[in-house]
Amino acid sequence: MIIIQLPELIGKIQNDLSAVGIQPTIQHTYTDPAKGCTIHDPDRIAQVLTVFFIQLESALQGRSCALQWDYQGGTLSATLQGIFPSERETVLSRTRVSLQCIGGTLTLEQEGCQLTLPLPTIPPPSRYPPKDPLEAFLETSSIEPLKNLTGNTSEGKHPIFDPTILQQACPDEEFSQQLLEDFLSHCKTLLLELEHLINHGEDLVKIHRIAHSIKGGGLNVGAFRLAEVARWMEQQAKAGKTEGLQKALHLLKDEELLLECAYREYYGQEANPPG
Amino acid sequence: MDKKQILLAEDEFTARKLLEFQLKRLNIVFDSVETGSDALEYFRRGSYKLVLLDEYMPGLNGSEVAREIRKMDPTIPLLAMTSDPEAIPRLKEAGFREVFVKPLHGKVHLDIILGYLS
Repeated sequence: MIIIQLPELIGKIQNDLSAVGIQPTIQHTYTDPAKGCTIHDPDRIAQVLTVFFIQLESALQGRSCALQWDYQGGTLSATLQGIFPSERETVLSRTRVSLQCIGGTLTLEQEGCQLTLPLPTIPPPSRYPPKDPLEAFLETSSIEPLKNLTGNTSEGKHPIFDPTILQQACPDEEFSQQLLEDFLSHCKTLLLELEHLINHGEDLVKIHRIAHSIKGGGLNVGAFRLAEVARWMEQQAKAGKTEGLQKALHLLKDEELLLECAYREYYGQEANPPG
Repeated sequence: MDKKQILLAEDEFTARKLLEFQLKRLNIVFDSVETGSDALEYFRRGSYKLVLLDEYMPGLNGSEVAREIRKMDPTIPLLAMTSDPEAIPRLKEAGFREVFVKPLHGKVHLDIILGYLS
């Protein structure tokens, strides 16, 4: 029995699929993110993985290939067991990987190594669980993008990315794009810090500060949904509550990715207008 | 000592960069800092026509900085920035003449700033 980490396992899967005439696409960066979104729905992931491994088993022409997995807190703990033709040995991988479904592809990632495969076509679940308080909050709350003491107020909705905010604040598009790039980069760092804090003791003072920073930055670059989730997390931390922080963190990660997709799509279209 | 026009204190970098960019475009001379304690230090050493403070900063927040500045210069215009509309009454009571609620809008907020400078 051999213990194999995911990067090695990906190589084995690639070799084994190649041996039976299938050429999976192995990529180090995901592609076409603008067309999809990230999901953290365990039921949906279960469907995707089940079909994927059935297909894999079929591709391996009946050789045993079983997957046990557990998805909690944004992390997939997976155990893959199978007889692979390249070594004729039992392969066991017990590892922690992140999983994303983006733009019709499934991405498994660990330590910078990614496996990207086309997603099986699966209809979405007919029923989703009832809304939790965070989702209800996001649906019912509203924010005001402009309000000063002179009484000027305009109500905002919740677009992923509203480019008019930066356009109004700054007519220089090059500067605006750079500011957004910097914010996205900074946001990723802050999300990593948040993840560490939430998973290691939940220092609510620091969580509050980081959520506040994401909220303020999000508002300034027109990322209202991101800002709204951050606002919810900020309020929870300020109230000394830890409930829902993990879920809010997942939502923040989703929104950050969606913001990046929306931003790149917007400026891509601007740079290459049709016709 | 030359009188600079604005002292800006903002820890959140998108707001700070936006304001810095806008003020430069208008040829407004300013100092920009990231903490409340730095703002106080700059104010003690410098001379300004207007102070623009973010409310929520590490260490001293905008209201605390404003209170200390008021002791040194009771007449200088103080402007606040916040992402919490609920904070407006409290910030007014703290002595801020204007409160900008984020996101920062170029012309609206800059016109107010220019009004005070003129």
